[in-house]
Amino acid sequence: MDIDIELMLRAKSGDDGAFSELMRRHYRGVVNYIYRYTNVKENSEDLAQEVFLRIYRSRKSYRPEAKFSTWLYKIATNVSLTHVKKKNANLSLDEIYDEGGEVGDPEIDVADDLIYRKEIKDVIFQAMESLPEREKVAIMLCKYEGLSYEEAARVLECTVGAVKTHVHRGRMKLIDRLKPYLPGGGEYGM
Amino acid sequence: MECRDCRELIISFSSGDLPSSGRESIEAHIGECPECGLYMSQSAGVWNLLDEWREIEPRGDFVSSFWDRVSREEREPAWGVLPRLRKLGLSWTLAGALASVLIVGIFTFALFKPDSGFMTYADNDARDEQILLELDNATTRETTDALSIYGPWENSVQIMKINGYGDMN
Ligand SMILES: [Zn+2]
Repeated sequence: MDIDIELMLRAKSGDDGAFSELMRRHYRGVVNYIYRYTNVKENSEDLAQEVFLRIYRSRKSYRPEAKFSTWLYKIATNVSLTHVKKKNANLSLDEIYDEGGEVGDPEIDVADDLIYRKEIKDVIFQAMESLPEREKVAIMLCKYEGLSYEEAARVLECTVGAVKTHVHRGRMKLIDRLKPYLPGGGEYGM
Repeated sequence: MECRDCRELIISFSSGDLPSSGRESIEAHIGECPECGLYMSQSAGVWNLLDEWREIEPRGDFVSSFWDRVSREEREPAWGVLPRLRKLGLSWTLAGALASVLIVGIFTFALFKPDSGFMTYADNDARDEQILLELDNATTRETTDALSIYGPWENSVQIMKINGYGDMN
């Protein structure tokens, strides 16, 4: 039996040690997933704990019908999305523009390697933010969390083909938005 | 092969997911189409560029602070109606059913109470009714939230639709 499922079943029957083990196996991935989703380092551990808290509270009703990680990332996606929506609802339009606005002029940034290093994560975040939600999540799951297309399909509740399409379309848009940062970043037609 | 088809297959090509016939037609197309060749190198380049966004190192005490949080939340007094219901160990279905019965009860009582006529909306009744309606709404909401994490996922289609994952275009 899959080790995560075994641990979750033990947690279901009251073994908190098994739940600790489950967290140790996954918290790093969840924290980083939320961090990249929200681009806020400070909140990501709290939100990751919220994810595990939700799982812990519903452990009694757990049914091992799917891979644990797909369940985990589905909840992590919901928690992140709720957080981002709540946060944006509390921001003024100016603040939203400042935080998630246009990708800055990379030609200038690239000129200074130090700034490039410092800012690249914000540039990537903004480029990812500009993608449709499903493309962003599909890329984050497949690229950063190492989920297979099949697992990402379960998280997104769509077909494997749809995940491939999301990744492909998202990647094309990222190429367009991050082009000046790419080696030989010239134009290409379609 | 059309450029559009070629680009759709380039990810599978790069990750070695294509059968040899597919690989050959892509290689042939790229050999004579510099634009798709550039796209292929940029596609790989953007994937590598994403690695520049480095992972963060979470605190080492994640697990122990999780358990602190659990015991802290268990110690907190249950002020609201919903936490009280939780403490009573009522299932959400039962709580919902109880709320509905209470609402029906209040209406029935208001209608048939001697000397009240149809004064259903006397101040007290209206207030009670409002409280119960709110409880009922909250229960429905909480039930939806709870079901969404009982996985895998009785009402997930609805939830994913809310989040915009349910359909693709
Ligand atoms: Zn071409």
